Amino acid sequence: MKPVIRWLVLPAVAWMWISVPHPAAAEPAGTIIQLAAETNAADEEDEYQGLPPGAGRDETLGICGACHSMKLVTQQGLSRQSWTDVLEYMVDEQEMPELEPEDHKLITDYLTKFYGPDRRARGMAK
Amino acid sequence: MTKKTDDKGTDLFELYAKDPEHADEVVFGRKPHKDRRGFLKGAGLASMGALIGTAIPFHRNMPAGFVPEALAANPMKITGKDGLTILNDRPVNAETPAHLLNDAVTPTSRHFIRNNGVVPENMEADSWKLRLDGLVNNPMNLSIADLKSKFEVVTEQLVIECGGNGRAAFNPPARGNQWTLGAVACSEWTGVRLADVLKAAGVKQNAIYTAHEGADTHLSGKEGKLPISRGVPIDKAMNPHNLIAFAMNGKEIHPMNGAPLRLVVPGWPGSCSQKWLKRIWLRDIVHDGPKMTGTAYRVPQHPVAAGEKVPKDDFGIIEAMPVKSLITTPQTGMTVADKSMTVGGHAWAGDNAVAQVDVSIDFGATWMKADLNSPHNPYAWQQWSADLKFPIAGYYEVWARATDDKGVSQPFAIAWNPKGYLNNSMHRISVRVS
Repeated sequence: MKPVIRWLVLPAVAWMWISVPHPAAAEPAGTIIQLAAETNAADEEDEYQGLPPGAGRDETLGICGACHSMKLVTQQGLSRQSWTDVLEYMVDEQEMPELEPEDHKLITDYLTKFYGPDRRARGMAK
Repeated sequence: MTKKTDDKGTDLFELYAKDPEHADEVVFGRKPHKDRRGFLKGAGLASMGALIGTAIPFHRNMPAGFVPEALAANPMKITGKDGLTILNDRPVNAETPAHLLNDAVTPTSRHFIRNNGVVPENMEADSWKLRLDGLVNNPMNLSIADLKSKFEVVTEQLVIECGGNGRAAFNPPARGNQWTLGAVACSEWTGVRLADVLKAAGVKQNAIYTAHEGADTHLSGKEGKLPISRGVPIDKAMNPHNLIAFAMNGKEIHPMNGAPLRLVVPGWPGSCSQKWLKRIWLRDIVHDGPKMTGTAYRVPQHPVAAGEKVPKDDFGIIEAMPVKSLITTPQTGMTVADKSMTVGGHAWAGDNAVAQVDVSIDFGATWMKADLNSPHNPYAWQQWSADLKFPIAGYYEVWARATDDKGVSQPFAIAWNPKGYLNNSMHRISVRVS
């Protein structure tokens, strides 16, 4: 898989930054230097690929992020039952390790809380 | 909007050659966030500024989740692609906004990307081999040069649409990539007919289904596990418009679209059109490869209520995609001073042709017939246009509705199904007349 992803590096970086919430502020910052100074907070958030803080965030990133980026997670808005089905599918068909019951609950709770049916990022009108 | 030509293919291969490892680590490593941080450090906004080509004075006001237009249109996002919306970066999945699909023949730079696995390391055309085996009389190993010399080479404009295109409109939501409108394209593909190759291989009497394998690997890294392997019934496989393609719009296939060799099985879910094609084998059962079984690319065989739990046995494999249309001009959300406007776009209909397209500016109360071109070849999408007159200033929606040659039209509402497939509900755009 080595050759493929070279051209994704810059875009990935830019995109990740975009997904980080920014405090609204009135005064414009005009220079590149000032822009760069702000990236440390963004940088920290970026480690979680947009996952908001909460119990189960580390486990979710660790387990789900082993195979795919969190963009696949943050697009979704699913019920607890659907998230449970997703984890089952990942174990049955996609080589995810079977989870300990407490990790399973932690991750399902986290996903349901932050990515429930009313939370999805990419719904469209219809 | 500047137009990008699709000549990035060679740059891309050069880039691979230069420093593939670093990029691979950063994006495909098991803990990508660590490496990404290193790359980012102190340079996130500066990088964005560099990409856009200038500083962003009001960056503090820029909403979260907001993509600068300049960046959305920046061809550097994915080399050789222009203006695509990236849904996922590992695996890479990206769709094209409707107004960027206005060309009759979709430029390579605007063709959507749908991946299930890790893109293969080696996409070298000269050493590429395609194997044909299973229930055939003459198993074959064919190079791309063999394909070109032994079979008739044909060029056709062919629609490929992801089975999940439109999933983002499902309510309750369905899991998977949340495609809106743009997981569809009609590029010009050059290759040999799948049917010709199958005939040369000599399909045995008891073969009923094809099985396709590509060179992409499973996201989990598990050795030998295929990310996806789908097939089609022999009848469909023998359709003369299926190609084993080695060129896209007259040039190399884009690496993210399956270079150097792929199937194009138009009119059926894109997943039938295996990318990075390495093997086609014939079977005497319905192929049971990854994403053929369970509920993948399947819908209930009876109507269901939105949100209903459907037993697995009630699902059937999706075959032809349904009739559908897009409004590709103007872009949605325009404010215009003129009360006259030409709207247009494309329409397509799975294995059928489109017979008629109608448009409405009054939420479907009245309709007018659009002008409709015949397809360049079967399985090409068809262009339509209509001259609209808005009676007074105000907010309008333009709706488009295609009807195929069997009399089947697009619905207004979605026929909900658990996995979010086959949304062919009418496309609508907003227009404000000032």
